[in-house]
Amino acid sequence: MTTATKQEAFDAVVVGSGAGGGFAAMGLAEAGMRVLLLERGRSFEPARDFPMNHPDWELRPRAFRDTEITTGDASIVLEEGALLDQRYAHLGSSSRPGEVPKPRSRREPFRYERVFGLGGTTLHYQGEAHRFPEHAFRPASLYGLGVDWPVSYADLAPHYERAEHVLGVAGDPANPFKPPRGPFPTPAHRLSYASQRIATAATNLGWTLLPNSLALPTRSVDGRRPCQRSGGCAQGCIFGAKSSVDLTAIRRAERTGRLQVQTESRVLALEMGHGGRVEGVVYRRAKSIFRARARVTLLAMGAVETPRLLLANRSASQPNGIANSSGLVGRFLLETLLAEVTVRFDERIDAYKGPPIDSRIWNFSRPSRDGSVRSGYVLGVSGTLGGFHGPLSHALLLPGLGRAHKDAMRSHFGTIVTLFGIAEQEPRAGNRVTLANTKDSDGVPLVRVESGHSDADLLALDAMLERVKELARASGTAEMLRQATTYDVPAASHVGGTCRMGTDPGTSVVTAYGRSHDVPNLFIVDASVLPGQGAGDSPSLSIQALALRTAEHIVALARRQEL
Amino acid sequence: MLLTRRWPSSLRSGRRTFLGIFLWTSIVLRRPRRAFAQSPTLGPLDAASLATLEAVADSIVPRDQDPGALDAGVPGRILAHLATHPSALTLYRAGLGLLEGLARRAGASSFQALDGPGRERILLSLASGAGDSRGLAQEFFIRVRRDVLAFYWGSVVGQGIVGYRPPVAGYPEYADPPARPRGNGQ
Repeated sequence: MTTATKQEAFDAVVVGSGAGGGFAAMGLAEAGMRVLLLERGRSFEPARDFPMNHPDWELRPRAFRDTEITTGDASIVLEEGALLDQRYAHLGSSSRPGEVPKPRSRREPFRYERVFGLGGTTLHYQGEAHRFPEHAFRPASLYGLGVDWPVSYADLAPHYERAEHVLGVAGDPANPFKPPRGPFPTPAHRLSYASQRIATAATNLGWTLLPNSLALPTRSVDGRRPCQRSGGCAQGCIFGAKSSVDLTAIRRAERTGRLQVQTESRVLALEMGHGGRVEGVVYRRAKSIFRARARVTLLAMGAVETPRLLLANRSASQPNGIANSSGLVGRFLLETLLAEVTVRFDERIDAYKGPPIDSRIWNFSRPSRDGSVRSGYVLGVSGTLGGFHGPLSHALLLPGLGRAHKDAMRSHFGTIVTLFGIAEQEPRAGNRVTLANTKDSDGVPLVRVESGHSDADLLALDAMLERVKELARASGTAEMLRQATTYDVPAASHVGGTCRMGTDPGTSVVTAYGRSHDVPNLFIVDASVLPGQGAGDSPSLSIQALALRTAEHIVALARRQEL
Repeated sequence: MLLTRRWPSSLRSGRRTFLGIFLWTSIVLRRPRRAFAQSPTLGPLDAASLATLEAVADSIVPRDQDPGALDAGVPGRILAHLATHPSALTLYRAGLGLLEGLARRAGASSFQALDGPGRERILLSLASGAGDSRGLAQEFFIRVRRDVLAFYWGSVVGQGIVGYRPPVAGYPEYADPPARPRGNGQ
């Protein structure tokens, strides 16, 4: 390791370039601040780096395979999960069609999906851009579940709107389950043929299947191509049409001339100065160590890495880590509650075509209080979840060989769709990220993740699985191929809560503006700050709106010289 | 959310490979020495092993009204892969030898000489560990099945059979009822 250091001074340094970091950097740069954006991963060029540029894309390595974190994560200690509540053993998962779920006593090791790269996890997200419903900001007051947010929907609405315009979100404003609003920046996508089939069944059940709101513009935004409905969001959009953060907020910020982007730069430590302020960051690029100084530091590394960095920066004056006088850094981890069934129709529906999650059912987004409290959830339709996408994935998942297998391929391909539900997890202090005793090659401690389910969580999983099965039956499907839930197999894509926001320094880590209660010039702008999960909606737009709100607050503080 | 599974993943080397070589030796050395001496080397496999590999590929994805694995050049793709992946080559050599041994035990002169159902029976018996108590049979079966299926269904030939058009130009027709595939199989 080269010890030579380079020191530069900025108005702000932002660590992490995903949904929160990219938007915060844009908000600050457009308001006149000089910003350094540090990203651990590389940048990607859609027309060059993504496998779907090639017809045999299924044979090619995934662009993010070395950066995605699943089982085997270099930063998470793999260990058995929480004990399973056997009253809900029927929620067990099968991984292959026709396979009977294995009885398990404990959850499988925690795993979640993220991407190291410029744009972060928006590089492989499916473009869902949801405003959380109003009730999701007050779950404790309304339903006795979780905690109320220190911000309301009304506080966030203007920032939602700004984020939607940057992304060119496509959607239909006539959604009775969401607050009234004006038109989306681009019109909604037509429902895919698969969703049209499911919509009829939903209507027969008294539910409403609606077009999803998506950061997949239906018209050109900022000179980019509109969405080509390739279904390839998760592999990296080869058209550069998906509004990932690298192509939207970061480009806009770069146009100001005030943003410096540094990729492949991993922040190892925060440098604390006098008066309990953070003076900058220490980062590694290749084999050299650098320092960057800034008036304000924003962390946007996600709900595992942000608490990891804070907890790892222990000192005599801060024995529990930075910004952790509450002892809550890493606690109240929110993972994803997911239940899905993969089903087969008797005819072609070609669900792999079109936006990957082009429709949603919001009828159940309010928590229920029928006896026990059950979290809110949202249902959806996907042609690419469940492991089925192109012919190769089908071939590997279908059993057998020879003529029978080939016949099964001819009869199954294009007939499969996954129906799923995502719920809000009840925040609990015992679900948490802590430091392990072992360290990685940079000397940063690995993390342990403890995550289990409350009664409300289990009721939500149970309800979702029942609802998606009901929807499958009503849709006239020929066969249910498999079921899977996060009851026993974690598969988290929405992770948050580990540096929750609040007004009380004793019960939260940051303020409603993402500002540390302890360190006045340290802000957090990622999913860590979320006190809840929006009743099953996807969190990226809320992270972006909160990041814009934080940036606006920082600019105001700087102008008043209160930073 | 869960996404597609990864392919290919590297084989575990080490103890299992070592045991695989051991098993391969015990079965294959029963063959006449002359067979070795006369086998020309075709890339990473000798002619006899290549013939077995072709028979395996043809069994996993046979030619019917649509092209099969041989038509799609699957053995060639596997050979190219083996040429640069020594641990996979070791497994293939051992696994193909194991198949030959099982075919002879079944009374055939070679795996290739078996008819279709006979080949399938032996291949499927590998999945339950036939002729091997050390895991090689299962490991080879999983690997060769996966490789043949992947190189076939990941190819333009396989895609065409199920009416799949890769998304390089997007799917502007995504909201319309799907057309029937043009392959012969429907």
